[in-house]
Amino acid sequence: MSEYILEMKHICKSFHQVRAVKDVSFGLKRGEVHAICGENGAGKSTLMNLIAGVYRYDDGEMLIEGQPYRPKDPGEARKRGVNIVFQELSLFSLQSADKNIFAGKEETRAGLLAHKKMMEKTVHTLQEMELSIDVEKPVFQLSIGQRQWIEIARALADEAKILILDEPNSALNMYETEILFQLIRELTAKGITIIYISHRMDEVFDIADRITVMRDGSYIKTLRVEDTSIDEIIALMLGKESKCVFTRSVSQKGKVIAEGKEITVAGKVEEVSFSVRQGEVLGLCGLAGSGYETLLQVLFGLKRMDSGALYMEGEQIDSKSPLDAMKRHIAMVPSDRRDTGLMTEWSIERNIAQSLLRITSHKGLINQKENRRIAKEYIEQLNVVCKSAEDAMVELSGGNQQKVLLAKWLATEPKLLILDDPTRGIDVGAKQEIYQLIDRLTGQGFAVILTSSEIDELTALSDRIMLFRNGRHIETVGMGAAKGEILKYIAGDGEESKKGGKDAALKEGRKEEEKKKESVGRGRFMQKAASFFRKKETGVFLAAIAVFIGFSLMVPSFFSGQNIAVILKQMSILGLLTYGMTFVFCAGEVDLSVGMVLNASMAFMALLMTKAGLDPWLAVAAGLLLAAALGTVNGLLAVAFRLPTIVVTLGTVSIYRGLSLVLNGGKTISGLPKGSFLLMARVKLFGVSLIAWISIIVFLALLFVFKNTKFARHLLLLGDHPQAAEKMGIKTGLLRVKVMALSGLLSGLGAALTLSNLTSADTTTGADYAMSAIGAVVIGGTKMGGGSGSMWGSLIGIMLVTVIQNGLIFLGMQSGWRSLFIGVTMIVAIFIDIIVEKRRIKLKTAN
Amino acid sequence: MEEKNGIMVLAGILLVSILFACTTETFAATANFLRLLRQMVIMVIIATGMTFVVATGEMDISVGAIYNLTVNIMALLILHTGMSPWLCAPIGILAGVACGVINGVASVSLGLPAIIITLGTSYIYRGATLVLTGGYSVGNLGKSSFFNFGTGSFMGINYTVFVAVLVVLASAWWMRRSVACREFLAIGSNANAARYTGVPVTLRKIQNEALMGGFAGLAGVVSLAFMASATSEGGSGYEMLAITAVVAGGGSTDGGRASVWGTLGGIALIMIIKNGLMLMGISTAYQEATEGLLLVLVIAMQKLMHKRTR
Repeated sequence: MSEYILEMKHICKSFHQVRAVKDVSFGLKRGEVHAICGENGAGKSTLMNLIAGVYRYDDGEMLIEGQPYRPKDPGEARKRGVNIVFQELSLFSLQSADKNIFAGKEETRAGLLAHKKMMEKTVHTLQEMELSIDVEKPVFQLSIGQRQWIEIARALADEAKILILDEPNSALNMYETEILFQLIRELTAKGITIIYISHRMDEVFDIADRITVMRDGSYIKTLRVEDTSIDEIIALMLGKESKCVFTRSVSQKGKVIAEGKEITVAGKVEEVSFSVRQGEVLGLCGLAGSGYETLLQVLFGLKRMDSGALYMEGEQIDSKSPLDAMKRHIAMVPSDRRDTGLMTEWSIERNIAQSLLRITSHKGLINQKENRRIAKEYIEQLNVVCKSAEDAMVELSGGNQQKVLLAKWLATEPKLLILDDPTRGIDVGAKQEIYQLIDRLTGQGFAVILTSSEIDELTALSDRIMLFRNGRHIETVGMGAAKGEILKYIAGDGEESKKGGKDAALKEGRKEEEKKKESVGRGRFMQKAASFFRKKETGVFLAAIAVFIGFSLMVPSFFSGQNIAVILKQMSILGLLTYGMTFVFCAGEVDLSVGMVLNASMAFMALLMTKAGLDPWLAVAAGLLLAAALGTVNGLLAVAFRLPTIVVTLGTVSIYRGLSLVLNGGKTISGLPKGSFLLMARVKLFGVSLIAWISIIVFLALLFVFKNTKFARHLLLLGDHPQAAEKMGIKTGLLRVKVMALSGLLSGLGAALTLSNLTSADTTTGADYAMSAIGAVVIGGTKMGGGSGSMWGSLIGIMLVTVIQNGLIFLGMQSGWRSLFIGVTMIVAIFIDIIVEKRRIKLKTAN
Repeated sequence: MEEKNGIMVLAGILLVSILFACTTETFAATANFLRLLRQMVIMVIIATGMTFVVATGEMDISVGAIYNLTVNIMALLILHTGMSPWLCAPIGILAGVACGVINGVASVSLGLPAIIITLGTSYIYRGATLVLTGGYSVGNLGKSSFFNFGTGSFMGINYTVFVAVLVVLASAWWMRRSVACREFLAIGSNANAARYTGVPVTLRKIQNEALMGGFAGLAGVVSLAFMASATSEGGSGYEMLAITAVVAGGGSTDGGRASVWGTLGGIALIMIIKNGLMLMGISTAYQEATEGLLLVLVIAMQKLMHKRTR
């Protein structure tokens, strides 16, 4: 066996003729920390994705422990012991740690979720990592650092041999980074191999055993940490020649255009001052999260500063919105063309006109002629390659789209132009054109603030570059500054991070952790009691009882055995729809058709019993099938056309109402055969109608399903974060169809109980049921939008809804009040939910 | 894209018209045509309002309820206070605007799509109507030039038809020319990018819902003028027809695309189908089912077509 756990031989990967990884060969030793260094675009991430099975390599060979390895998806890679922690978090934020760690690979026993086993494993994993994370809290309540742990724990739970950490600590503070390093050391001691990618050089030298340098997709060299230095690695990363060949002509500097004094945004930027003059390019540079991005947002009115002052041409300004900034002649070309830059489906002309709208308009009317003239002028000036100004943006290349984006902002004739990474993702030719444009603009007296993901570009274009680290402006360098020097400043070279400060931060962090541990130990009982009273279900339950007592006092006949029986029956039937709706809500869907599915299947059952003379129980079975089929149709339509179910069921509710009218011919169907079916609603067990018992049994069964099956677990994951669910290998389409079918089936069951109770199928039953069920679910604390749900909450919710509806009838209020009540409670319930959530988050941040 | 959609809608109208002209004797008669025009008025006004909502990337399913609430408020005012119907009309429109503002503010402050908020508020408005009227129809509103206007006609064409024509013309012009509408479309197309170009997104969303309420109120005024009475059940299903019409007319359920003329074509198509089915003596059950089917079909088709052009 070779000394390598993973060996790569001549690995190549191309995307559309662009060779991202070229002939890379090297090996990983068992139990080492292997850092990979390289600039942006050096091919690091592509190589990692090849190892983790996200992409498949075109050429070459990989061996794991001497066996050929060519994963077709991340699942297969996981099975072979290769795990990756992605840069962007893909956690289910409403779910607790254990649910996240086992997402998509839940442990089961006899088909049911093995809660205990999963929880034990989770606690064990986290204990091994020496972390005190509250495993019962939804992860959105944890710090970003803790979330990162869970992501790592998710990878470790698979018994990984190789763990890839792609910039794992960009979200971690110093204390958390230290814990991460301890963890990495422990993992390697156990023989797990770590691939570690980071831009922070001092940390790489802290943790890595060996460093491999990549440049332009090629393997350059692998060095042992003891044998090298930060300077050598940076030199290797950069190579000899600079990638950005451009020399700016020296422009005349005029008066100061924009000036900032001690701008502070809590937690992001600390006391940063700057100024930029006419004809000057001010570069801003730092790692992601170092604060310069926030500074741009403050300048353009997208974020308010906590203290400091901003001046335009000597006059203090206070931009509350981008509109304010635009009025002060500030323009910002955002870095993300698709997300914040352009309307990709609109024409070029419209996109350019968008920023001109308010400038050229007169009395609220668009000045189309003027806008068109300006648009054409800039299309020409910036040399946008297109057939006509009417071309849609999607038809243009990335470079041309970028030019339109620039044109859109130049057209506003700004004095200060902010260019946030203006050459991201465009080809070399277009880049050169944009460089020339920047050159020309400064010649015309624009003041430019520039950022770039390529340091070469900044050093070639900027008169001065302000360097940022951890929210502070740490240094300013001039045009043509050495790239290595800049990298040292922004990434830290070891000496910069003062040892004393680090230790203090460590101590502080430890103290906090201990405090947390103490508070966990203190007064378990009190905490449990407090959390019981804080639970929404408790509140709603108390409200239901209060309302019940209130009605009993107001109306004497309300509290009678007969009326309670009526309430119970009504609640039993509506409850079935509510429980189904709870499942639907968990998946982030809404079913407006339940009432009409009930009505249609009820008519169908009645028809089969009377006209067809079918045995009532067979008719019920057929009706249940129909109901499930109607639900399935809802789901299929939603999945096939990628529509939200609320839109689909808005249409199908009409179709099903039509169907039920066709079935019953607009008349009540009566004359059902006497027998066991009709008797069902009249039998009492322990003084309670059989209908109620059936509903209770169904509730308990569904509660069991909700808590113990993969199906329900996956629904929650789907509702929480559909893309992540897909990533974890959950079949989301099938799941959506299944849950809609379940909702339909339960409506069918409701139809059977209603039919037995009423002894006839009328035409109006079910009209309000969807809203009653939705109202009850929302009142019970289940979130609109998916990811969480409470069956007990829904039970109590429907209790409250039924009691109030019944009580309103007793008070002589007609149906109008009932509708009014349903609508108001739904909105109020959502409102309360949002307020409670906000308070919780506040409590969390206050701690 | 827009032209293609227009041609398809026109072809659809032509096709069903020929179909109904062949299968029924009464469809291709002048009287039926004039009646059809009059029947279209209310839906045209509501669907035109919905065009702006869909442009913003939202859907309002409380319009039917708002419409009926305003009709009943006006009718009750006339009945109980003896106010001139002409004075009640602006009050009705304002009531609609108020409902729209409630929708908008709730949607923006709760951070939920309008479709969910209006699902709740539609019950509130419907409930309010029932509470106000006690569930009874409101009639016996006396004589007024207002009602004469509603039933009168010029060259056989009902006066209210001219109101609808004016509304469509003004809306189409406004949609093309106004900064406000362009900003509605911008929000629907890419809300983030809209914010980056200085669009006051929150304010515009509220204005948008208020506008929809105003259109529903105006439809209420026109309806009252013609019927001279109000029912507590009116307006149900109007929201669905309106959304179907907007989408059939080229509006995108994802926002950023909608056309007033397209919507007009869409609503014409729907009303012709309804009219034809009625003339063929097809039961309301099938008509109801057809309406739902149309909505699903139209939205599905729009999704498919859009995917292909991408």
